[in-house]
Amino acid sequence: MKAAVILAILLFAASAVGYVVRGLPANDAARDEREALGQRVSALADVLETFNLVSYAEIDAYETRLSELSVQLDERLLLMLESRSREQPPTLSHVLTRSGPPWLGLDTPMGTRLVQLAAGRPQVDAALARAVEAIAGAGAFDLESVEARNGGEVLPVEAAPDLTAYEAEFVVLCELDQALQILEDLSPHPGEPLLTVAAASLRRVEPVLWPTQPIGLSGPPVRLWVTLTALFRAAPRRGAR
Amino acid sequence: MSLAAETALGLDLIDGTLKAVLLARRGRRVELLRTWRIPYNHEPDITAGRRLALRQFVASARPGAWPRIVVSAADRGHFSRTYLIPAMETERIEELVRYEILSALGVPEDDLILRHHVRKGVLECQVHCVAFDKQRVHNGAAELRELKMPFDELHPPGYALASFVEHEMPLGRDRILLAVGELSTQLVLLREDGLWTRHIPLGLAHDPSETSLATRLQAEVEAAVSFMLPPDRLFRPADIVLTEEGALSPSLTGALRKAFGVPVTRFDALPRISVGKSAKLGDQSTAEALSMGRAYGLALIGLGLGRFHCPPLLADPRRTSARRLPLAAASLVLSAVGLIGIGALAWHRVNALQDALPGSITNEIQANVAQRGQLAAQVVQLEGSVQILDDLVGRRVAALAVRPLLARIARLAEGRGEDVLHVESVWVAPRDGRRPGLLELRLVAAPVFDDVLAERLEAAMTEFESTWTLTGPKRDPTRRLSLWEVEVELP
Repeated sequence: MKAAVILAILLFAASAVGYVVRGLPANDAARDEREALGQRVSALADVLETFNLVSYAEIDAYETRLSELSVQLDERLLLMLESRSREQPPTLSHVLTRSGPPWLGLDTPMGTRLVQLAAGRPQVDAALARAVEAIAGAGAFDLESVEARNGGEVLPVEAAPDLTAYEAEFVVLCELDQALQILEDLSPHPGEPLLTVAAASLRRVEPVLWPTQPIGLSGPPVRLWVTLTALFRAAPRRGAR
Repeated sequence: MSLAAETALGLDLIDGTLKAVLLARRGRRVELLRTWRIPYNHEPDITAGRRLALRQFVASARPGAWPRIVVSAADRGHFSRTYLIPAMETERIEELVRYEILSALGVPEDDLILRHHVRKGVLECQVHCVAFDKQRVHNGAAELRELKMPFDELHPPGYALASFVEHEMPLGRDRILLAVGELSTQLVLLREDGLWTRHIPLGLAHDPSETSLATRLQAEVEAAVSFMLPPDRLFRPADIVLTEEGALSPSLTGALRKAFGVPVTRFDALPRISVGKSAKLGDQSTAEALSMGRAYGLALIGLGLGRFHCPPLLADPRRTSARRLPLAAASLVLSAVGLIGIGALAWHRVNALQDALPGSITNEIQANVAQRGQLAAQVVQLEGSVQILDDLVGRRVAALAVRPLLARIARLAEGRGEDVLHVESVWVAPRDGRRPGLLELRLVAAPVFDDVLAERLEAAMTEFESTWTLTGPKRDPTRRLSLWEVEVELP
């Protein structure tokens, strides 16, 4: 009996030591694991907002849609920004030195103003050259003013990081037919920069306000306010397919 | 030996024969397991013979810690009385008993072991008292220890005999118990109101004639009755219960019946103790096995079935503690198993919790959520880009829509001579992602057009597949002209 009691005491002691060495840490670990599980569930709830799990099909659908959109965007950019002409687009100085209306010329106040706006930036130079070429080509009586928008900066287009834009408002005095031709010439043509009319208005000029010397004016003049947006391709986007 | 059964060993060492009985108790059932009987009265030295018998018993029985062992105390020269006293406090009873015994014996208290038991009644109490020679009791205990005979308690043998008889054959009337041994006789006088015991140094070995022995015993009993019992009530025994070696002699039984004039009862069977088939009686006859009244009584006391309770003369509490060791060991083993189980359960729970929502799944879900967010943002971004490029087409539509519209209006003035109808202003707002494109014209017309212009404009605009509204005419009093506004929603 004594041997049995001693064995029982030894067994109890061993189990007590085992409990202290393994059982108590296991209890602590179980408590920690329970708290960690709660934290994991809370973290998931925070991430998911609800307990609807994100399915792989949903992610696949997003990736497919992303791929399609990327292709569509590339196609549109290719259509709009790739010039179909092999000729190099004219520069602003080249356009200003062409023969045309009296306001055209490097030495004129408007010429000086335009060169100042371009400020040696090739993209802005090309955009202004394209706009002046359209206005002069229509035979406008006068380019009264040019004002750059957004501080004259070429800025990324919001929600379209593939593009940058430059905006300016032109005020032109011309006949109605010339104004319509200017608007049509400034509607998008493939090539970079891609000029578009962001807004336009034209108003008939009352006869009493007609220019005193309407040289080259064959009909009643109108004043055209046109806001042009020149779009450029931004640096290639990251992860483009 | 079953752990469910309580066992007790009664060991009677007095009177020239070692007698031992092992009983088991299961609930109310008492079972005889084994008996031992080792005579030692034939030895020249009775003390050496007793020691030899005890050694032999220890070697044979090997009593362990489990049975409760109750040994008879040597009752030579002991004192036994029953006092009937009014009901009073326990402390006063104890004091009274001590006074009465010491007065009766005239022996110093230090030389005695006094025990008493109170059976309380409504008006008076029966106080059973015994006084034993302390030295003799301690010598007996020392001899047991020396011979490595464990024991739990030493009990008065007369009380054991009375307990056995009352357990097996309760009568409820006056009776004489005679345990006639080889060397002495144990006398117990049982009355409804008390118990008196006496050691009579007269046994079978002292008188070969049963008739003479019976006569001498009758004289001893008569003297004891007149000496010990209170004289206020007559003692009229209904029978004589004969046990021990005397019960094995039919002639002594008949002689006693003649001498006392009352029936003599012997135990031919045990009415309330079952003798199983597995009971080991050794080389004894059944009559011998049944004639050990004191040993049975001691074992019954060990089982807690003694009818005449008396505190033990000596007790060894260590055996009681040792008897609890198996329970303690079992508790320790159960506790150990419990601890091991708790630890294992804790680890199982840890693993279950770890498997419930592993970090890898959490990380994967969070990564998927982040990926979904990024993809959604990229889709929105690309949709915005595509929308902007699509809007450029709208700008072209807006720019090209001005001329046809003006041409239609110019046709309205054809054939009207000098009547004024001209465009005052044009406002072009191409569509963007948030609103459709809009073309707004303000016309100035002569009043003659007031009644017809709306109709003509409507006819002119039918080919223009767009929603349009016409407002006017409004008077321009300064110029005496009418103002018209046309709004066309562009695709």
